[in-house]
Amino acid sequence: MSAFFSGYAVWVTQTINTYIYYLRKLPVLGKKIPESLYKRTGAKKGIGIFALIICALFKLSCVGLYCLCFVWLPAFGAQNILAGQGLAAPMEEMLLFLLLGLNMVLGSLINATTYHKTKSENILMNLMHYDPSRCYKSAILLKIPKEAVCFGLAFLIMGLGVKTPFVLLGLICSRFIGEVAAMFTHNRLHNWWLLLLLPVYGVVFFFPQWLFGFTLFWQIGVLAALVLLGVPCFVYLMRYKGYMALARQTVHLSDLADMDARMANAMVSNIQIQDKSLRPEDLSPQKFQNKHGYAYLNALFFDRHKRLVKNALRTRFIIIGILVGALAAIALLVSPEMKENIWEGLLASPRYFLLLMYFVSVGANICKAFFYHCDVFLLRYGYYRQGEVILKNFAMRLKRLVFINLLPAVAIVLGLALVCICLGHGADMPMLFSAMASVLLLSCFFSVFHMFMYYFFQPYTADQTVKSPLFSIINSVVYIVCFMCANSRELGPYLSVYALVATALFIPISLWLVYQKSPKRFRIR
Amino acid sequence: MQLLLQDIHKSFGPKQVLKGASFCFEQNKIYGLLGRNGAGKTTLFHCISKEMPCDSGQVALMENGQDVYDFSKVGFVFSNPVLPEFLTGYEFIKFYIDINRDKIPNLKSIEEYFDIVKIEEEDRYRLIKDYSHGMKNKMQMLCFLITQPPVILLDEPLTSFDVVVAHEIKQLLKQMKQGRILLFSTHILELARDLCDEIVVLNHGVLEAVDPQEIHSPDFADRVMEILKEDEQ
Repeated sequence: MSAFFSGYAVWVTQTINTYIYYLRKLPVLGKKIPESLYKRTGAKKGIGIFALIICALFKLSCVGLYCLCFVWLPAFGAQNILAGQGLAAPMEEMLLFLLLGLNMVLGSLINATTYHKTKSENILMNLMHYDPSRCYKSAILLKIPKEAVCFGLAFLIMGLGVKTPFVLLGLICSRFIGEVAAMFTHNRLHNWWLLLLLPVYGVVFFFPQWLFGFTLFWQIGVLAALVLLGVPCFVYLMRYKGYMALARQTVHLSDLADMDARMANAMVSNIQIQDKSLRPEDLSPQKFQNKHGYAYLNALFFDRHKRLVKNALRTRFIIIGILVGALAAIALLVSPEMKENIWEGLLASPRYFLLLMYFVSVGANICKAFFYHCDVFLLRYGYYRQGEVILKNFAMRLKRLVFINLLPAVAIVLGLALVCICLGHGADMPMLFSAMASVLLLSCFFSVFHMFMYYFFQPYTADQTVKSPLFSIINSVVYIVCFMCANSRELGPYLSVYALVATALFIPISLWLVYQKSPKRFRIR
Repeated sequence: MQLLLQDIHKSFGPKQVLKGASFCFEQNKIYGLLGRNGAGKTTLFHCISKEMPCDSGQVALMENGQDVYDFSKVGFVFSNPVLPEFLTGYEFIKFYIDINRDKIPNLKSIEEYFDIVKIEEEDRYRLIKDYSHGMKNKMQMLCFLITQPPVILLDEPLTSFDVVVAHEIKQLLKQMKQGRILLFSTHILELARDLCDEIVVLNHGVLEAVDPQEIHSPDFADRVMEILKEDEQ
C-alpha cells in the first residue's frame, strides 16, 4: 500500500504545484499568492486527502456511467426490442452476460495495470528508484477494493441484488487472469481483444433468446472457472520475480519527457515545416536576390512555409466548394417557392459572416508559425527587438496575411454570386454587394486582428505553450461576440458598414499600438 | 574603450542575484567570467546586453570619456545557438549583412566569410535546422566577425564542441580580441587559464578580479576555489 500512497503523493504534489504556479501567473491575484506556498507540505497533504476523495467520487461516477451506457442501456434496448416482438427478455441474464463479456473478459485483457503505468508510477520507479516489484503488486492488490466499491455499487443499482458479491468475486478473479494473460502475450494483443465487442453485443441484440440458457447452473459454473483460474493467477502475480525486467522493458524515463513533448508538440503539429519535401532548387542562393533585409527574410519565410499556407487554404476551399456546390445544386433543382425561401435566407445571411470569417481566417496558425519558426530565434538579438524593425516586419507580414485571407473570402464572394444566379436572381445581385463587401472587409479585419494580437501580447513561449491569459480571454470574447452576432437579426443589413468602420479604425490603431508597445512586449516569454 | 559596470543589482522575486556588481573591462583583452552554477553569469550578460533591465546600476561603454553604448555595439553569443532554422546558412548571412550593411567595416563576400569559419561549401546551402551544434556556433561567431562589435559576450562558448572545433573557436577568439572587449563565461578553470588575459569571479552577486599574475601560477586553482567557497566557511 505504501507504493500506492507514494505514487499518489507524487501525483498530488505535482498537481498542486502546477495549480500554484499558474495561479501566481494571474494578474493582480497572482501577486497575493506567496512563493512560500510551495513548501506548505501540511496544507498539501490536507488538499491531497480532499483530492483523493474527489478522485474516488469521480471514478465512481465514471464506472456508473460506463455501466449505464455500455451494460444497462444495451440490455434495456434489447429488452424493448423483444417486448415489441411480444417476447419476454432475460434481463438479468443479459446484464450478467454483458458484464462477463465486457468487464471480465475484455476489460481485464485490455486494461492490465502491468502495462499501463501512470506518470507518477514512472517517476516513482525511474527517478525515485522505488522497488518495481512493490509498485506492481500494490497496483494489482489495489484493484480489489477499487473494483469492489465502484462496481459493487453499480451492480446493486442495476438490480443484481444478492448476486452482487459473487459477480464481484468473478470480476476480481478475471482481473488477475487478465494480468497474467497480458504478461504472457506481452500485451501485444490488447487492441485485438476489442473485436470481442462484436460477438458480445451481437448476441445481446440479435440472439437474446440464447441467454435464457445462461441459467444459475451456468452462472455458478462460470464463477467457479474464474475462481479456479483466478486464484493460481493471483499467486503467480504475487510470487513473480520478473517485475524489475518488466519495468525496464515497459516503463522508460524517456516516456516522461515524451509525454510532455507530445503535449507540447500537439500545439505546433499543424505548423511544422515539411523540410523533407524541399528540393535543392528550393534552397538555391539565387532565390529572392532582388529582395533585401527583412523583405528577404519574410519572402523566404513564406516560401518555406507555403505548404502550411496551401494546406490551410485547400481545406477551406474544399469546404467552401462543397457548400456552394450543394447550395447551387439545390437552387437549380427545387421549386420556385423554395428558391424564394433560399433567396430570402441568402439576403439574411450576413449576420453569420462574422463567425464564418473568424473560422476562415488562417491568421492564428500563421502567427504561430511566425513565432516558432522565426521570431523565437531572432528575438534573442537586440537588432530584432527595435521598434522600427518590429513595425517593419508587422507591416510586411500583415500585407501578406491580408492577401492570403482574401483568397477564401473571394471564393465565398464568387460562391454567393453563383448561388444567386442559380436561384434566378442574377439581376438582383447588387442586393448582395453589401454582404460580399462585408466578407472581404471581415477577412481584412481578422488578418489585422490576429497579427495585432500576436505582436501586442506575444503569448507563445519557447517551450510551446501559451502564457498570456489576456490573449486567451480576448480570443474567447471575440469568438463569443461572433457567435452572438450570428444570432442577431438586427446586425445583418449593417454588417458591411460596421466591418468597414472597424477595419478602417483598427488598422491605424493597431499600427500605433504595435509601434509604441511592442518593443517592450514583443519578447520571448 | 572600456565597458563599465556600476553597482548593478538584479533580483528575481525575493532572490537577489546581482548585488552591486561593478567592474571596468578594458579593450584588447579576453576576460573570463568564472562562477558557480546559479551565480548569475548569464543574468549579468543579459544585463550588459540590455536584454534584461537591471533593477539599478548602470552599464556604459566609455570611449573618449563619453558613453557610446548602443545595442549594436554588444554582441551576444549564446551557449545554445539560436538561429532561424528555416533559412540556409547562406541566406541567414545574406540577411544579416543586409540589415547591418551600414555598420560593417571592410565588407567581404559571403563566401569569404564562410571560409574564415571553415564552413564547407555544401553546408552553406543546407537548412540551419540540419546543422550540427558546432556549425551553428560558428554561424553565431560569424555574425560578430561580420559586424565586429566592440563588446562580445560569450555565454559558455565551448561546451559540447569536439576537440577540433573547440580549438578553431579558441584561435578565432584570440584573433578577435584586438580592438575589442571579449567577455566569456565558463565554469571550466582550464579553459579560462588557456584563453583569458584576465579572470573575474562572480561570487555572491559581486565581481572580483583575480590578479593576472596568478592566472598561470600553480596556485591559481586554489585561489579561485578560495574565492568561490567563501560562503561555506
